[in-house]
Amino acid sequence: MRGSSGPPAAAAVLAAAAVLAAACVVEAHRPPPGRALEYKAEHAGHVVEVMVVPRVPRAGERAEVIAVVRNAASGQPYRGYVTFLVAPPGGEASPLFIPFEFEPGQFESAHVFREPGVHDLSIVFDVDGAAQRIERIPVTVQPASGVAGGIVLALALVTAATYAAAFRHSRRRGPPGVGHD
Amino acid sequence: MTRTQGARLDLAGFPALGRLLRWPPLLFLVRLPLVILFTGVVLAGLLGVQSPGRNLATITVWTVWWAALPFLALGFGKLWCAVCPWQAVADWALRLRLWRATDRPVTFGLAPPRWLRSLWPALVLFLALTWLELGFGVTQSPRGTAYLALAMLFFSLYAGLIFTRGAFCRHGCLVGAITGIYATFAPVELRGRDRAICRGCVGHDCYHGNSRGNPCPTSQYLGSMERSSQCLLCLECVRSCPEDNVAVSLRPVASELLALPRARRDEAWLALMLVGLTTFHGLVMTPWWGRIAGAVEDWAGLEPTAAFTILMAVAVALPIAAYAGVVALARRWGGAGAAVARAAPFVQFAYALLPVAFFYHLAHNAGHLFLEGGALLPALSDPLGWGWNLFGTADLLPGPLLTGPALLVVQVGCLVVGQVYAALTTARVARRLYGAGRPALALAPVLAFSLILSAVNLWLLGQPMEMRTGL
Repeated sequence: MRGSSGPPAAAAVLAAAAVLAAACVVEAHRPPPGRALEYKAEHAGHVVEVMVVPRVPRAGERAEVIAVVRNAASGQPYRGYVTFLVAPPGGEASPLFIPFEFEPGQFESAHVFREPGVHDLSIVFDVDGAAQRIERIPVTVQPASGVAGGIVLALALVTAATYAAAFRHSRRRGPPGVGHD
Repeated sequence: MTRTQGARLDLAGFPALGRLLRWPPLLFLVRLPLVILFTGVVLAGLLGVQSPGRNLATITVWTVWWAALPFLALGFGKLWCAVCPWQAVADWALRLRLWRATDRPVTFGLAPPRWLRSLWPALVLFLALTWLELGFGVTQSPRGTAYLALAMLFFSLYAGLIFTRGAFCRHGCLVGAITGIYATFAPVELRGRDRAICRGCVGHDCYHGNSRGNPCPTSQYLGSMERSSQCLLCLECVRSCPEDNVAVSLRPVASELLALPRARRDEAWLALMLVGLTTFHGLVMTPWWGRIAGAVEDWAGLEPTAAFTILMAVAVALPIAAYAGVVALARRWGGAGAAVARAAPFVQFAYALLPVAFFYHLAHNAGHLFLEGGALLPALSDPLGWGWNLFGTADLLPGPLLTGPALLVVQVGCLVVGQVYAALTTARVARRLYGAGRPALALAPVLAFSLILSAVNLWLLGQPMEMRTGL
């Protein structure tokens, strides 16, 4: 280790410091263009931008919901609570879930859309004590992937075949000697 | 029969307890309910509602079991390995017996290839699981959790079909690897009671097995066993030893760590990875993570998954690289020159950082257990999220068991204890390696590094934490 470990260690520390510094100065976390479902509305004197990443989530897999709320006149970040509601296709809105405020005025939460179809996303925030709702933002969810299930089935078949072969092998062996190996 | 030996109390020396430990169906009876629960978890994950906060699979696996695992290791060492449900199913299928010993297990019985005979397969699986847990979000997916459970069953069963003995337990199981290294803290050990009797033993039945007990699944020989990291506590040797020479003892906490048994290179790497990954685990659940990941995504134009993967690699590599620098400093300042093997400080000082990782792991998981653990009660009554109320607890909304300052006191207490053990271990390693040189100077950089790690962990505990079943 001696001699060769100093420079990589220093480089690693510098790289981490650079990432941390970038994290401090970056204004807000935004998904790269085209990778999110984007929705923008003005309501009760506030501009609300909503993003869902990925743009077309898959049922049963995690998606990120991001809401950025700013005062329309001053551009200042909204200071208060924001909650998200999701209604499945043809159903009622689920109990609200409360996102984290990652930046002033920027709220994010992970969400698992359970079934395919068009879900309605609602954003609720508070202005002067009155609840404001931006309702029915359509989020299209595609069916769950069958790849994992197929892999499980294939592995089960392989295991069954190997088990049968190992069973025959173990029964063909002569009586064990010392020990069981 | 002597029940105490030094600071050890031999539980198997008590006649009733000894008989119980030798009773063949004991392990089967303990494993059976866990196998039933495991089956329930898989079914709930595959068939139940895909909501992590309402499905038995995600709550049982991630909020309760995964969070409680280090506590189990702290109290009982590798007890999980003894009762592990996927290995239980594999054992039953391979032995075609529920508890009796067999001399013809269903297996090809090959020896694992040399490149597999270490903890590296387990380390790779540990990295993969961490990526799935934090990067892919499998903790939020009941179906994904069920697939993961089936994958563990597949690995243990398939390895057993191909290789001799418990090859997966010994080399591939990430849970066994983690609990194994954490077991150095546990106040429980299984050892040969009298080494002289072991030396005089011809049959080595603990290793080979006999009609009363199966061969040791991890090929341990009691006559030379010094470490608990490979002992599954399956009690096969307790049953097979013809001399009744196996002690299951209580011992002082962390006595194995502080005794500095022979260090292993793969175990040292596991300890270092745990240092990085436990801290990374905490970071990912704070609002800071969104800022850091967002900065990388925006700057490099990366997908979130790609950015996560890169940052996870940095999180693992960074502490190891910094540690390498610290060890180089310790070597230079220690002044023992050629008397110390080149790789020895890197391997041995890694054990000194293990307490920092382990006790931060406990502190972080205490947050999950105390804040979210109550979610198990409604999930038990409605395991599939289909509106059942089997035990009348489906509508319960149990609050956190501990919150705010009380929880923080527990968590900070964990960090303090970890730092104390880190300091003790550092001093012992420095004395062992540089006793002829300048041990006080050699320990300084390692101790300072462990303090920096603890400070970072302390800061993380002060951050708001995203919960697993919060959705």
